[in-house]
Parts: sequence; C-alpha cells; structure tokens
Amino acid sequence: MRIIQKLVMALCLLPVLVAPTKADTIFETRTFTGSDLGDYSISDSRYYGASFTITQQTTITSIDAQFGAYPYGTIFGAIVPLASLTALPAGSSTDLASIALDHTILSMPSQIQTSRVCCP
Amino acid sequence: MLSLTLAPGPYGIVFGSGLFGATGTARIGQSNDEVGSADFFQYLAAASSDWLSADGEGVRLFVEGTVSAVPEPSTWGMMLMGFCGVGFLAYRRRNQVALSAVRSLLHIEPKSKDRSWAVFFVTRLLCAKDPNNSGGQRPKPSHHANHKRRYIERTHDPNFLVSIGAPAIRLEHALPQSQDFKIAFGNSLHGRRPFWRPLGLLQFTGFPCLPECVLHENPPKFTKKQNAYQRTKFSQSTKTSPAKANVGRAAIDLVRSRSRDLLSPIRSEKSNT
Repeated sequence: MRIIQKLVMALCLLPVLVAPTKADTIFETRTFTGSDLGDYSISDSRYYGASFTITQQTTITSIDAQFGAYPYGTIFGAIVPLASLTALPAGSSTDLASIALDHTILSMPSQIQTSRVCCP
Repeated sequence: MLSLTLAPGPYGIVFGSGLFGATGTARIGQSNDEVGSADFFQYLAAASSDWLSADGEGVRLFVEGTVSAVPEPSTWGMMLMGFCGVGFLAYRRRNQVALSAVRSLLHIEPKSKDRSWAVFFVTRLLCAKDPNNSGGQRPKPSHHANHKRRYIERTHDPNFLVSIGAPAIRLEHALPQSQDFKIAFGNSLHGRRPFWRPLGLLQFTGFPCLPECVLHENPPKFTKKQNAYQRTKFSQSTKTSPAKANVGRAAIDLVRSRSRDLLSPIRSEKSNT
C-alpha cells in the first residue's frame, strides 16, 4: 500500500516537475550597459530585428529592446518564424503582419519595460 | 504579457511601426556590451521593401520566456518503465514472501507450477478477515456481505472457515477410518448466488501429518450444479457426522495455527508498511 501511495504521489508531483519555471531571458543580442541616444531609428519606414533559436519548447512572455532617443507613441514588436538562423523573414516587409506568430505593442518611452500583449 | 509557445527552431523578433496599430518612433541604443554573435536584419523603405541584413553592433534586443520542461517521449518511456519496475518488484517481493510461507506450511519443494493458486491463497488470506486477527479489516456491511454471511452460517460451520470472506477453507472429504481427508480452499463467495470456486486442494494422508500432504496443482472445477451438490453433501456430512466435523476442525485449527505463525511476520510487515 505504501508503494502505491508513493506512486500516486509521484504521479501527482509530475505536473509540478514539468511545470514551467520562472521567466528568464532566453535570448539577448547584447547586455545592457546604460542608456544612450541610439543610432538605429525605428519607424514605419524602418524595422529592425534579430534572429534567435530555441532548443526546447518555450513560452515567450515578452520581447523588448533598449530604446534610446526620440521616443514617441507606440512601437510594435513581432515574432516571426525563420527558415534558419541566418535566414531573413519570408516575403517582404509588407508581409510581416501575415507571417507574424504574435506581436506586442510597446509604449514609448520605454526603458527596458515589460511588453504588453496585443492579440494577434 | 506575451504568451506564445514556440517549438524548437529558429525565429526572429522585429520592432517597427506602422503595423498592428503602432504609430510611434524610437531609436535603439547601440552602446551595449557584446555577448556573442547575432544575426540582424532590417527593412529600410528608402532602399527596398525586402528584408536586408543589418549590422547590429551594440543593439540590445531580448526575449524572455519560460522553458517548458516537458519530458521527451524517450524520457516518458523511461519513467513508465521505472514505475512498472517498482511495482513489479513490490509485487514479486510480496509474492515471494507469501509463496515461501506456503511452501513452509506445506513442506513442499519449490516448483515453478505451484505458485499461481498458492500465492493467490496466501495473498488473499492476508487481506481477508481473520476472526483471530483483531487487525483484520471487517467487511463493510452491505446487502452482499449479509448475503455472504447468511450463506456461511447456513451451509458451513464457521470453524471450517479460516476467514469470513474469500478464501474459505472447507472440509472436502473426511474418512474417519483412515483419517485421510482433503481440504479444499477457494472462493466460496462468488457472485450474488454463492457457489464454490475451488482454487486449490490439499489431501492429507494420515492426519495430522501435514508434511505428508499432497498438493494438487490442478484442483477440480465444478459447475454450478456440481457446486450445489458438493455444498449439500458437505453440509449434510458436517451435520450428520460430528466425528468428521471434529477431524475437520482439528485440521483447520492446525492449518490456522501454522499459517498464523508463518504469516504473522508477513502481517506485521504489511501493517508496518
């Protein structure tokens, strides 16, 4: 009976063991060293992005960037699939809305803020 | 918060404006420390609507999320094998203890074929209510239990029962002249209408010489009609022949005492666990 109880307990603990852990940074292009004005402008005429890869099933909770000077209004951030780590997004920039897996809207100014979700 | 579960593979993050309702502008800092190589891309309307590779020196883009530690199929298989192994070891250990007790009780050499019903007998005996064992679990009162109890009181001498509930031991045949008799044990409380379902048969030659008993590995199988006949014959024999009943009681008492001594450590171990 004791063994059966242990088995039941183990099965009950299984969801806990496989439960997602605390959100962590799973990808960053650079580490934050301080605010600066910045040189790469983001607007409706210029998007900027980077590719990354994940090796395990991962739940993305936020995406963000270190923004610098001239913040105004809102900026979108989107996640798109890539054919490879060195590949560019499929299609052209006009196809971004159709290929985006999810997106979020960032209110400027943003200093490493947490993203707020907007349904795709 | 964003909540998007991604399968392993390559992905890209893009920041911009003019889509998804975003209308603002910003600049991305370029003074952050490099931590490794990353591939950047951009859309520059002045050049083309196509995506272009970009230099991202000092640019900090980042992604936060939680890695779902979902075991892979092979891991699930190993876990299931582990659970099955633990269960099998426990089952085997219990059966080995019970089987050794039976062998010790009957003084028989280990055989590969004699374990099925013998193990069943002892393991069920451990679970059944023993009137002399205060630690035994009393069956819950129910219509079915009452039915069983009436059947036992009507057709069996309680002294012939090792326990109320399966398995029961009853006197099969008693021959006062030679003091040879057989004791069958099995589930006599099967179904709504009880009938004898033999699980094993002990033949004692020269009572009370338990070491000389013969173990029948293939107990007779009775039909319901035969069961009724056996039950009637047994009931009549116990009612009309006190001598036979006494022999049976003595045999059962001996079996009970032997089995109680042999099974007490198992019971204590069972109660401890």
